[in-house]
Amino acid sequence: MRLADARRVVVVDLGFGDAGKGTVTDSLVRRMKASAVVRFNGGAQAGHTVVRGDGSHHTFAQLGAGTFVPGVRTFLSRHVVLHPTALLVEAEHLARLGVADAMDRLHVSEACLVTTPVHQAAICVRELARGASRHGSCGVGVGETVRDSLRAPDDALRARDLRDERALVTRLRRQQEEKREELREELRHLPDDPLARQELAMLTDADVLLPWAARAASLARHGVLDEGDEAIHALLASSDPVVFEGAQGVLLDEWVGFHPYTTWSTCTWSNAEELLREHGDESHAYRLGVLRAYATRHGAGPFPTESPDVPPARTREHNVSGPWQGSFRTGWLDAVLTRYALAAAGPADGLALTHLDRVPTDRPFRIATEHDVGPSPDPTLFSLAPSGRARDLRVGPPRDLAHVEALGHALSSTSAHPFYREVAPSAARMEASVLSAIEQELDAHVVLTSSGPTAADKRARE
Amino acid sequence: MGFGHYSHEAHVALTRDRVAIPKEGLFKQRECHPLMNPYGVRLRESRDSAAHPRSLGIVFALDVTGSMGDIPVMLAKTQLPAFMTSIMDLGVTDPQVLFMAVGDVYNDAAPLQVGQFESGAHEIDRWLTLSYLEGGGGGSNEESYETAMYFGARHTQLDCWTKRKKRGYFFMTGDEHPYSHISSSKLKALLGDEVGADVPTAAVVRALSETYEPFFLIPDLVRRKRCERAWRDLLGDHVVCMESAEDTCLVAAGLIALGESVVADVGALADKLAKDGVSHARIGSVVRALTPFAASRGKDGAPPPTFIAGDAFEAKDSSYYR
Repeated sequence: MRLADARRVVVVDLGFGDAGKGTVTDSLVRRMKASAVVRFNGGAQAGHTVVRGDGSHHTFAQLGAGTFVPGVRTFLSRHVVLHPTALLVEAEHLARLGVADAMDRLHVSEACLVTTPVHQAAICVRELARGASRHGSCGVGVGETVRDSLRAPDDALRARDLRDERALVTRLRRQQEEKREELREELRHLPDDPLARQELAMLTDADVLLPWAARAASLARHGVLDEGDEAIHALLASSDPVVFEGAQGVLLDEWVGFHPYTTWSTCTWSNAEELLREHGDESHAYRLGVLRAYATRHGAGPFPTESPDVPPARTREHNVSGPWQGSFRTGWLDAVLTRYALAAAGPADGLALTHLDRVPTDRPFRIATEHDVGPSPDPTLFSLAPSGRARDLRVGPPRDLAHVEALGHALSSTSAHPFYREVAPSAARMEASVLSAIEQELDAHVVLTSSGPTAADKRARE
Repeated sequence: MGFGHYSHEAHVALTRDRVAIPKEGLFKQRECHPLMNPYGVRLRESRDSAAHPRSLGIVFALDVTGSMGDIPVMLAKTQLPAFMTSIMDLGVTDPQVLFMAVGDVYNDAAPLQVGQFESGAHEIDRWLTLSYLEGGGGGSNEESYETAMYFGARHTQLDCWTKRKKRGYFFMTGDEHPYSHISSSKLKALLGDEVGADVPTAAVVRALSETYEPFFLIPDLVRRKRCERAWRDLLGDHVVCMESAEDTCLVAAGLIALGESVVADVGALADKLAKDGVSHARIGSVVRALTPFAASRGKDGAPPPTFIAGDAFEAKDSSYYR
């Protein structure tokens, strides 16, 4: 199938996130004349930046990255973790950019888990108490929300509960108490600073719950709840073109990523395809893997090709390093990890390669094709190249966290040394050489390129 | 991944907006405020902190039913706001007070309202403000005091007890009889607790006494006639009969001061109160209310009996063996 013919496109990041899913989604919505964007994982921690032709930009977190296009609706499917108050803040920001009807175009599944200020504070308290060791968490509370819901599914707050403001306050007070009990040790180790005091207030002060409940309930009153998932069913049963916008990246997936440096979310195609199966037909879904021309990662975790001078600094980054995110790290594209992502998630029908404008033409471009992981690589973790270096990471049995943790350990900066293929600098043919090298190493076809932040900077390549 | 901007902004806004919560006039609540609804509450905790390293958990439960007349409003408006100060003036450090309002599970919409343990007068005041003084109750001359005691026994936790094996103080003021049992179905409806069978109130008092020194304060001598006997059966000498409801806070503070031995006896307490400018008449009625209990602890200020050396055991024993 060609991308140009697809009516359902599933956009998934093949790395650690930040590949440019926002700008790719926006451009697809315009090309396909899509009527809706469906989110199928993650929550408010997503940061998908879209820049408009006039230079104004918005970082989409919960609203779909197609929202700049008039009339395009966003569906938060049941796999998404809803952060009600952040959603309102995001909508206000969009309204300041002249998009005032974003909330009118939103449908939230009643079954979505809901992140509360208690979750958000809890994750921050854990991080504060842990001190130096960070798991790349953003402190939005998505992980905490999912974890609690797995532990006590019947107690989990869901979007449908936002209809009853008073009951919300009661539920949250109970949450506060449970979290205080759960975090007793961590609370003892809290530093005495303004940040810690603020988070502490979220766990102890019942007053913060009232404005939260009022705002959260206002969402339900606004009519965004999709009762019985009827709206998404109608959408997916129709033949309207739809873009499925993934969040995070396969290498951060809860089961496939390098545990424990992962997110509590399924980042592969599977949630989107499950939705299509339930409501319509998955056979025409096009899997589009998004990849940056160089690698990035937020916060801690294995990153064998990390190299701070890549790419040469010259453009603005919309990725801010907030107090909870840890630093924004960059390095060379890693074909070994990308092949692993494609093997673990399942093959892509095509790749979107972004940030090509950041590839300098006056110096060599490097792609890691193998990793030197020591004299006797573990055959359960690696398959070897003729050189004796690791060419591929082995995909473990489903949901085997020990396996992915071992992989991550073997890929830490002290144990893995990348072996690079170099693309020689060329003023005229640099982009073409880089593209063909990447396609060769990944055995996949690049169908869309991006060499700038706006939709006009995207080129189809079929 | 890696964006938390909107959620961070939303998060910070919540602490900022606390001050903007409408503070309704004192006791204008029309129903149980959601913050004081005990349903589903697992624990109210009195905890040590850097500012209050040796916390002392204190519960003040107030009967707010109709039989109490104007007393609840008077106490909540003029007495309880000064309760914390009274306790600390007597030399007790780090008290933490939780306020409860008690009604009748069979007749009231809000038979139990529960605040949080607080270390500051201002915070306690807020819970008083949120309380809904229903003025209900029933014609049965019983109120649901036992549910408040049950909550104290099962849903509070005190660092003074868990860390230092020192019990907290539980004061209940009212003028009716307790029910003989807690109805398990009412308990489920009110707190969400499953206890199987009805629980005898005596068992609740026993459980409460494990972590608290429980006292029942009867506001005046008319009300004393109505309910003293029933409470004596349950609490023995821990029933304190006052002459005026206006003595309530000083009496409760005095009981804590005596229990914590920050004053030697009621005489020393009277001196202390006089020094703090409490009127002569008030000191008199407070001392009279406290004296029976203080006497049972040898703290009523009466001279101790003297024994003459060689009078008792020693001589007898030696003669036996000789």
